[in-house]
Amino acid sequence: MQLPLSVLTALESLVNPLLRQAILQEGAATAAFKKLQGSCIEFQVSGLNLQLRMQVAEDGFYFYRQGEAPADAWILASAQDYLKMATSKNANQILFGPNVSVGGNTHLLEVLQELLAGLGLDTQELITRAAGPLPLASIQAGFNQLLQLGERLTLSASEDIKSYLDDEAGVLPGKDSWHVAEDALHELRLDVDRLEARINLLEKQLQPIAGEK
Amino acid sequence: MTQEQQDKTTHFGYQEVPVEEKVKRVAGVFDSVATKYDLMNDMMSMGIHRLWKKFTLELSGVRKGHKVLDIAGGTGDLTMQFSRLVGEEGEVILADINASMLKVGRDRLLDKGYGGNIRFVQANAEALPFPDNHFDVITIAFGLRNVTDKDKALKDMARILKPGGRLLVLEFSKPTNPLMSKAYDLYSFTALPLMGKLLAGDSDSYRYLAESIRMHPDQETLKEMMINAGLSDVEYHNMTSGVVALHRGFKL
Repeated sequence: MQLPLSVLTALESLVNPLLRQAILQEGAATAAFKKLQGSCIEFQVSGLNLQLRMQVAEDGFYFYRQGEAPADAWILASAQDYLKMATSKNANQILFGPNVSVGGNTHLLEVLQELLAGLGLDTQELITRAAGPLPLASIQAGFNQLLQLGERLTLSASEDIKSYLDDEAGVLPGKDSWHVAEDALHELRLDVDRLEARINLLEKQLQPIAGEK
Repeated sequence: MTQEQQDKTTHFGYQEVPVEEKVKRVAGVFDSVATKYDLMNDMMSMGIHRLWKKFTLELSGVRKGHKVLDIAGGTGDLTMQFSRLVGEEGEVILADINASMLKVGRDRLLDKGYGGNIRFVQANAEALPFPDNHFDVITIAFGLRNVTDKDKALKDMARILKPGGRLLVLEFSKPTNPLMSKAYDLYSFTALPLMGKLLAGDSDSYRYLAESIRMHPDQETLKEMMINAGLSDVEYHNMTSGVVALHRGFKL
């Protein structure tokens, strides 16, 4: 899956004016931005097979869908985790937590976080602005609902299978029934053996009589 | 015009002109539009030209340390972006035959703080003043249709590419959809010259633009030309229903 090019240019138009304004104020963000210059960070979204490359230049961030040179750092996370990182005060914990994979020069990711923190952005407002009238809470709720739906479907399917197996198991003979049937079969074999022996004895008794005739 | 004269003519839009005159006429067009070039690009393409160029960058494979040549680079859109990608260790050369366009490009890039890894060269695409096997990537965006001898230019680009290097040609082409083709004709021959007149005070140059697009080779023909110039694995990508095509070839 690839993002449309128009989304990339729209993202640049949204992000870069804010970045340049913040950089002019010569705060913590400026120092972090200088450290990032010239680097390329790749963001991969798990589940969607989506990637986004961010090239950091002197005048801002530039986004691409693909690139042949390896990125300086990369991060693999679900869309939900990206959203959490963007809106949480403990983004570092999520970044280096068990659900997110990182690689390359991971220090660049920390510097990126410092930069974002230094910008003092109201990420919720930004996301709301980018997403249109849909409030951020609805986006988060939407992700949660999708996940819950997935879980419910999986649970329902496994319950159905178990119920089916139980029903089918009910018509099969139980352990005791097998023993009873086994005993009955053994008795029947013994009866057949006795009958065979009886027939042989009668045949022997009949042979002299048949010979006299 | 005699047969001999006809043999030495080429097209300037829909007009047949002597070969030596085409260069002057094209120069006249770009001298006229240079100061309004970026504005007109945005207006005519409704900003879509930025997406076409972004796609070109994605397919260029440019990385840190590369040497890149941007031919007919004009006002430096692609050069600016290449400059970011190649870093301090790399080099980007913005080449254009037209001094007015080159000046606008240089001023624009310097004003934006670019310059460390960029050089500016006035050069003719048919006789590029660079050594053999020199560049990792060469691009020519919306410039090839203005070149008089395209085969000669393509051969020279292949000459100066490093083995493994790639040439990208971004150019207007033939729409693949008949409905789009009709809409495009109407837009090109009516709206563009009018826009040119209102915004740049020059409708003739924008009429030339529309005509020159129609005289440019179509996708398959240009692909063959690139193969004949010595490039391999040539492929093209249509954008906006074939209104623009990006051709890419490799020197193996």
